[in-house]
This record gives sequence, structure tokens and C-alpha cells, in this order.
Amino acid sequence: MRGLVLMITKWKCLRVTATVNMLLMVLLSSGIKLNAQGEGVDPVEFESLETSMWLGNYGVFRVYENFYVTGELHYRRQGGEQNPFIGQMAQVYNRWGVQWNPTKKFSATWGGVLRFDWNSQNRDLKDVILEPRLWHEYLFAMPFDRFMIYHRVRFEHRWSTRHAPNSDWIFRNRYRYMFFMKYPLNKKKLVPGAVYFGPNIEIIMQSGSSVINSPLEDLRLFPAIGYIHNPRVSFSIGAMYTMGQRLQTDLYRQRWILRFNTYINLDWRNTQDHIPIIGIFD
Amino acid sequence: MHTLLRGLIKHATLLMLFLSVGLYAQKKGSVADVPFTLKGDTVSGKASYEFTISKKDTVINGSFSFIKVLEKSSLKNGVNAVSFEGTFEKGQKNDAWTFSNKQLFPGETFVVDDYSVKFPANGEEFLIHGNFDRSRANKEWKVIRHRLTFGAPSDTTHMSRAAFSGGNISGAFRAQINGVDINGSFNSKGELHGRWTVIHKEEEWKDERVYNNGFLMHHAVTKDDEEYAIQHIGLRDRDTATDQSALSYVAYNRDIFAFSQMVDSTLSDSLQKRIRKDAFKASKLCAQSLQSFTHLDSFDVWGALPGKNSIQTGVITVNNYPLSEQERENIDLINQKNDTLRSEIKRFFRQPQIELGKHGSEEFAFYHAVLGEYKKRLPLLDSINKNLQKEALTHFHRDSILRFIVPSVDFPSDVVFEFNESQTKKDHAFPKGIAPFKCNIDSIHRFFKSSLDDVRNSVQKTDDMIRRLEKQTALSEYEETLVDKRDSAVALFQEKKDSKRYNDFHAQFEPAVTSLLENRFKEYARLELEEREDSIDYYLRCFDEVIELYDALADLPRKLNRVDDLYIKTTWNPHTMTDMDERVKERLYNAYENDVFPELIERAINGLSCASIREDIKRIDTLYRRMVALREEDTRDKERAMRRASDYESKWAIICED
Repeated sequence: MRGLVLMITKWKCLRVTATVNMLLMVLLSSGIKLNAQGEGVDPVEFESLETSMWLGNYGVFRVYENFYVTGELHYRRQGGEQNPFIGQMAQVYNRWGVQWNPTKKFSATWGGVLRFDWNSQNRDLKDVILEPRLWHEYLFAMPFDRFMIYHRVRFEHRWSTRHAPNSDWIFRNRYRYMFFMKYPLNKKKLVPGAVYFGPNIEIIMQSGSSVINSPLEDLRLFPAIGYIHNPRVSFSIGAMYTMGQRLQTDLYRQRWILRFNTYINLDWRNTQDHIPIIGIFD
Repeated sequence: MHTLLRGLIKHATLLMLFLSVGLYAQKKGSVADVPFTLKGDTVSGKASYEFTISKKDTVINGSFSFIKVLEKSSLKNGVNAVSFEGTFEKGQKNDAWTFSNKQLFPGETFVVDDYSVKFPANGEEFLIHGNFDRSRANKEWKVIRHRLTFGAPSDTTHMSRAAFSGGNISGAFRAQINGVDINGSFNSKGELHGRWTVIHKEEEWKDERVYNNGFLMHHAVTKDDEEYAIQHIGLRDRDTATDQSALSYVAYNRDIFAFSQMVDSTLSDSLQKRIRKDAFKASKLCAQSLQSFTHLDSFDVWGALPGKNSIQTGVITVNNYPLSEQERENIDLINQKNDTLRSEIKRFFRQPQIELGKHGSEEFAFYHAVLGEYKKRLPLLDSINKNLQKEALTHFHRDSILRFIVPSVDFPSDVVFEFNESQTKKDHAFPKGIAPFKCNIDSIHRFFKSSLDDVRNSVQKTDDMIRRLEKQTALSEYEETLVDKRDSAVALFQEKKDSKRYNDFHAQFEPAVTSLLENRFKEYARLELEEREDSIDYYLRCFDEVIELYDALADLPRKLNRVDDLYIKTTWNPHTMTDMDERVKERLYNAYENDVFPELIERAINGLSCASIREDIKRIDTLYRRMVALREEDTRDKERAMRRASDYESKWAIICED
């Protein structure tokens, strides 16, 4: 019986993997199609390596049975010519959403993002511009005895402009797929006190009228080390390498980003009505 | 004028006669199947009869029938049907009457008749066909007892025939009862008169008696063609010519003949015994067959119906020796003392401590032997008492009859008894026995009185020892229980028993428990008897508590698991998509898990004693219950206090005391 359950579980995992792979194929093929729109493709060039630091706070708040409110706050700094390493402000943005978590292997989230983008180099440009987004994501979890593997597909619909005065708003879609895992190092499971290794790789593709020859917005490789303090609070730290095309160019941007994340998980449900456990053998 | 006057007188006379007839007119009627209770009975049957109302009294007058059917518990699936049928004339039995008593059992086979299923019965019927002349037995009478097989008479076991006249049995009498033929005759007064023979064909003996107007003149038993004369002593020793009041006319009474019959003493004892037995049997069957006209066992058949009865079923003429007041009183006292003596002896020998006592004490063994002498003689004493109670005694001069009906009773001057595997002889003052040729009712009474006093005295002498033995026996039972409990507790803690519930805690406690049980048992064994009686309860309770400790420890893993579960909170973490267990009230739980509980167990093991077990069990339970309760309480203060607590006592107090 247990063997049968394991077989079904593995089969389901394979199905999830196949679905994600198909989605990737679609995304990549659309990227290729987008790329093919341009003519006279120049050779690929990489910009010089940039450095950044992202501080992220990921909050999930349970509000009703399988429903959660998610809220993320990101604080990002970056290096510039005058302020190397992480000397200047980059972005602050807030991501929120409503998450539906019907099973232990799947969740879906819908919500919005409001990003503030700073310009710290050119005084002729606007200091801060806004970028609103709508987003929705689908997370597929694959539990194993000791570790977890996840496939995350996220779609973002973004409206952005430039720092230059009177710049037009452009609309783009982002297609993001992230594979990540969490592997406990000092415990047999992901339990409080566990230090885990959490590598993730994410590919972000984009589309839109302004996206010419530049479908690969970003490819992120992020080997993180995390710590689960308790079910409500976790941390992770790591250095992420990203690489992506500048819009409408063959230039590839490269960054090393130090990332410090905290993960908050709170239950906001009313607990007054909890029934005490009764020992029937006493 | 004269003619006119005569006419008037004539008419007036006729008118008065007519009126008087009208005044005394009787109202007639009949009832059918009305409840009717026989005299001396408690359960009603159904009767149908004709009656007249005379002077406001209902008088049965005419045909009468009665039937009562009872399901008797003594008759398995059977019924008892009693019926009467006959005629009353103005409340007196008259003409032909039939009494029937049937005991019927449904047969195994049945007959289907239209829409009825009938089970022809098996059983027995007792029938009396008689005749009355205004309540006096008259004409021919017949008694029949026969077996019934498949609904029909099959085998007659008793038949008596006789004629009655004016209420007295008279003329020839014939009976067949239990294989015996009885032939005899009565004179007109109902007295046995002439030759009476009782012949037992199967056993080949004949009892022959000759009566003359009720007096037994001759009695002999013929056996194997040899006639043995039987003398009846004291039966006719009064001068009837001068003193008619000295005579008694009584119903045929087997005891009278049995008391007085004397067989030739030169014959062998066995032959004397056989002849007496045959003669007694003949008397018994004669009495039974004569009595059957009026009685079914002890049931007075005709006395159960309304109206007078005059039925004399045979009279013999005997002496009349009424008991004096003193004799009657002594006979009553003999009866009482015999009953008491019998019950005292029976009670003594029924006591289970007897066997222990006679081996444990020489004095006890002696009195056991004394009472044994009385026990051996109980049948003799019973027999004396029984004969003295009989009515037949009043027809004999006591000086002449007691020697025949009172057996010799004597006691030895000492008793021999066994003690410590050796025979011991010891004097005892038994009462003076009964010598049949020298006794009278007063001396017999004195004998019974002395015997009862001696029995009571002997029983009393043994009473203290019996009580002591009772206590000792009870103690032995307790000691068996104590050993059982010790063995059971050791087996439990050594996993030789109830291994399904055995756990690590039992293993931890085992050395201490085994040592406690063995030491306490040795301690008990070293006590004196009196001390054991006083302290057995303490040890039993201690061993019981050890078993209770086993039960408490058997339940401990469940309790620990429950507390563990209670203090774990499982939270779903959507970041990792996993359930995460988290210990809540960690400081409190850690103090319980790491310090208080282990120390509690260790202290219980190290200090295990009879006095501590119950307290240990209580403390374990208290800790558990407090931990369960604290899970639902606000324990922030306790957790803060726990931070400062360093020893067991203070941590115990924080958890278990409010």
C-alpha cells in the first residue's frame, strides 16, 4: 500500500515537472519568436559586472483556512560609478497578494506590485519613478523524505516608464519560472533549527511591443543558505548571479547580488475557539 | 249450622295449610362452572351444582360436580386433575359418588382431530367409587389406582372393595395392593372380625390374623411352609369384663401391632427380623388399603366437601392407657432435647476446622471423640424419640411396652482417640445409658437431658479452639493471597506476565520492586502468629500497591506521549510548504521533561517502600495532570519563575503548585 502511494506521488511529481517543462518550451519558443522579429542580430556583449544588495522580507499571513495574505517588502541598493558596490539606492518595492493554498503541494497567488525606482546618478532625470504590476504565480511543491523541491511559475503584467521626463509608459509581460529546493543540512527535515541549503535558478522572459531582441530579461542563479528559527521566522542569505538582456539591445547585464531575506509566517485567524485536547484515557 | 261450621273450619284449615306451604317455599337454582374451594385448600376449582336457598342459606341440593386442574412444578410438563361427582340431598352426600385424582403427562405422540391436536396422556389415576346414605357410607365401595398409558388405563396397582352400612365398613373385604392379596371381614360394627389373610405371592409369605369383634386373637406368619406364631404383648392385658372404659376402639393402626409383636426368640435373629418385617408390611398394607376409602395420602377426600361424613373404615379393640400429665410433658421435652442434641452434634461436625483441631490439640481430639460417641448413637436416640411420639403408646402399659420400643443405649466409661499418631484412652463421665427393661419415660427424659448437657459442655470446650482455628484458617487464606500477590507482582515486573504492557519504566523499577517484595515477605514470615494477624492487612495492601504501581507505569508512556503531543504545535509553513512542529511553553516543558520527571522517577525507585508507593503513584499522576492543565493556561509567570529555578523541589513547585 505504502509503495503504491509512493508510486502515485512520484508519478504526480513527474506530471508537474512535465507541465513546467512544457511551459518553459512555450516561453522559450515565444522568446525565440520575439527575437526573430529583429533583423541583423549583433554579437552578444556583456556589460561590466555590477554589484547590488537586496534586503527582502517575505510575509505570509493566514487569514482563513486555506487563504493567506502575502506581503513582501524589498529594499535594494546597487553600486554606481560614484558609489561603488552598494553605495546608491536602487529600488523599494512592495508586493502583495492573496494566496490560495488548497493542498500541501500547490498554491496560487494573485496580487499587485508597486515598485519605486531610484535614479542616483543623473540629476537631470527624475529621482524616483513608479512601476506598478499585476502578478499571479503558481507554486508546485515536491516533497521528499528529507528535502523539498519547488517549481514556481509567475506571470507579471508591468507598466513602466523611464527616469527621463515625459517618458512614455510601456507595457510588458514577464514570464518567470523558478526551480528551487530546500535541503536541510543539520536536521533530517525542514524543522525549526534547521540550516538548509536552498539553491534556486530562475529564468525571466518578457514580451511586449517594446521588447525587441531582448526576451531574456534575467537568468538568476542563487545558492542560498537558510535557517529556520521557528515556524514563523526563517532567514536566508546568499550571493546571486544574474544575467539578462538590456531592452532592445544585445547587451547582457551581469550582476552579483548579496541577498538577505527574512520569511515571516503568521496566523491571523481567531484562535479563541480552539477546543482543548481531551485525554479520553485519563 | 254445624255443617256450615264444619265447612268453614275445613276451608280455613286448607287455607292455613296453603299459607304455611307458601311461607316455607324454597327457592331452587343451579350454577355452572363457578369458583369453588375445597375445605382446607387455597386454590379454587370450578363447580357446577344445584342448590336451594333455605332460611337464607344456600344448600347444595341435587347433582354436584367439581374439577380442579393444576400445573404442578413437581410434575414436569404435567397436570394434576382433582374431580368429584355425585349428589347432595339437602347438603348431605347421597347416593353414588366418585372421586378422581389424575396425574397426567402429555404423551410424545399426538392425534389430529379436525382442527385439534390431542396428546393422549400417560400417568396415574386414583379413583374412589362410593355410596352414601345421607352422609353415611353405604353399599359397595371400590378404590382403584391404575396407571394410564396413551390415554387409557393399563395397569391396576391397587384395588380395594368393601361394603358399608350405616357408615361402618362391614362384611367381606378384599384388596390387591402392590402384589399382595388381602382378604378379611368385619362385623356390623365395623370391627375386624374373623380371619384376615395377607398373601404376598412373589415374596412367598402369608400373614394370618384372627380377630374377634376387634380383638386380635391370633397372629402368625407362614414362610417357606413354616408357620411362625407372633405374640402381641400388652395388647389385651385389661379386664374388659369389669372395665369397659379401659378399652379403645381405634382405626386399624400398624404401630399398635408393630409395638407389640413378639417373635419366638429361639429363632435365628435374621429369621426373627424377616418375620417381623413381613408382619409389619402386612399391617402397613392393610392399614393403607383400608385408609384408601377416605384418604389419598394425607388428603381427607370426603372431608374436603361440604356436609357431614360418617365413614368408619375398620376398628380394632385395644387397651386404653392415656398418658399422664408428667409423661406427656417428658415426652415433649425428650422431643425438644433430641432435636437440640442432633443439631448441636451436626453443627459441631460440620465445622471445617474439626480436622485441623483434632490434630492440633489433644484436648480437642478428646472432645471430638466424646461427641463422636454421641454421633454414633443418634439413630438410636431418634428411634426412641420417634416411638415415644406415637399415638400407639397410649394403648399399652408403659412398663410392659417400653422394653420393646426403647432400644438399649449405653456409653463406654472412657474414650479412645488418636493424637500425634498414637492412641490415647481417657475417662469421660457419659450419662448413664438406657436399659430397656428398667426404663420409664422419666428416666428416658433424664438420659436425654444428661446427654444434651454433656454434648453442650463438650462443644463449649472446643469452641475457643474452633474460634482460634477459624482465625488461623482465615489467616491461611490471606497468606495464600499474599504469596499470590507477591508472585504476581514479581512476574509482572520481570516481564513474565502481561508482557504487552511491559515498558522501560517497569524495567527501571524491577530491582527495587523485587527487593521490596522479598524483604517485606521475609519480614512478615518472621512475625509471630498474633503479629501476623494484626499486620497481614498491611502487607496485602503493600503488595496490592506494587501491582497498582505496575498499572500506573504501564500507562505512563501514553501519558508522556500525550504531554509531548500537547506541547507540540504544528504549523503549516507556506514558505517551505511543510508542516512544522514547534515545542510550545518550551521552558516549562523542558523543566518537566529534563528535570522534574526523571528526578521524580529516580526518587521513586531509590526510596521505594510500602509507605511510599501510593504517594509515588500520586505524584506521577499529579505531574501529568498539571502538565495537561498548564497547556491551556497562561504560563508566562511560571516560565519566568522557571528561569530562576535550579533544583527539583522548586521546579516541582512551579509546575504542580498553583
